[in-house]
Amino acid sequence: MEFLRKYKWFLITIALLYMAIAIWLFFFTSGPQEVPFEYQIS
Amino acid sequence: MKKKVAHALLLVLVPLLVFGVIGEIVLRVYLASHMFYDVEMSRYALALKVDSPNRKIGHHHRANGDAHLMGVDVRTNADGFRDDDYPVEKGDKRRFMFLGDSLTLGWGVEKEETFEHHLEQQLDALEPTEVINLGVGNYNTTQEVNLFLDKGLKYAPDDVVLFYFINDAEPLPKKAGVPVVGHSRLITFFWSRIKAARARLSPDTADYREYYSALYRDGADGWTKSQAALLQLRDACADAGIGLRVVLLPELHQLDPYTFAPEYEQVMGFLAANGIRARDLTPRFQDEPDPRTLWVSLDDAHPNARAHALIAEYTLDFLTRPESGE
Repeated sequence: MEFLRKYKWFLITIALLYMAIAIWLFFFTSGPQEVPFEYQIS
Repeated sequence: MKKKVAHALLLVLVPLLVFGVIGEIVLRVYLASHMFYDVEMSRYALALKVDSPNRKIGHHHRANGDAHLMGVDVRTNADGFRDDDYPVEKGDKRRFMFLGDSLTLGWGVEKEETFEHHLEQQLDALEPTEVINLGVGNYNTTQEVNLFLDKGLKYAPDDVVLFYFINDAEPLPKKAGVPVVGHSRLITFFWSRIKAARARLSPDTADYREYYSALYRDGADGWTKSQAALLQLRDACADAGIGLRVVLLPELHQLDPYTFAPEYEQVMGFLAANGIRARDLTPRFQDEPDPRTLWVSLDDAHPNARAHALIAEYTLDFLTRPESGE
């Protein structure tokens, strides 16, 4: 608990940054496929 | 000093790990009712692909595999084909063998809706016929031909049809370097979306047009190997008394004018010059008002069930005409 209290703002910043990147990737990079099928994990 | 560095590292890594696990759980819950193309492709690799002892094949399907991918069931037979089991000994039916990649496999389409299944039904109505489907995702021409030589030739088909797609001239696909990438939905999702974002935002990153066109430039390794594989297939079929045809399948982004018309002319020219009968289906798709209505999904430009039905319709007479030099 002491750890959480001490680094509260640091952890919140990381969580927000993480969520912002995830939301950007989820919503703003979705769209018609524009990359070749080559970009497949084989 | 060392203690401080370790402390700082822990401070960064532990929250990232915790948020990563939370993200993975949230994404898996979301994916229970939604699909992402790249995630499905990585699941395909994990569920059905295994390394082949033949270096020229790279990977093939697991025998008797079963997976639900891109919304449809994909089952493989004892030879790893997405098809029923056929006796090696040929019966009275005319036997076709279809070679190709994920389009021939029927990615994102039920087995009964694939052009292979349609054509089998339509050909069988004309004369007793069976079609064996050797389509495997991510294959190039070299892999298609070598899979046929390794596993297909023993079935002694009367006819072989290679369904060619613009990316058949790619080099041998590389396996993901870090296996865990495929197991994590979150890493797969981030990886693929960052690639997609780069392709959209950076003029230096090749989009699909530039990427596919580059495969056919003078001296390009993939196209050179494709040509060699096609000639190898022609000779193997000639030696075994098997009829060979090639059908060029359309890339479904832009059909009129077709984005890859010059590249397909190049392929058709090569096939004609080497006595291989071929048909390019792309002109038959030019009247489609919206190519995206032919896609499996918005993030997956593979042909959907309607596109498969059209491919079968436009291919049928090419397979029934005995001496068509098209």
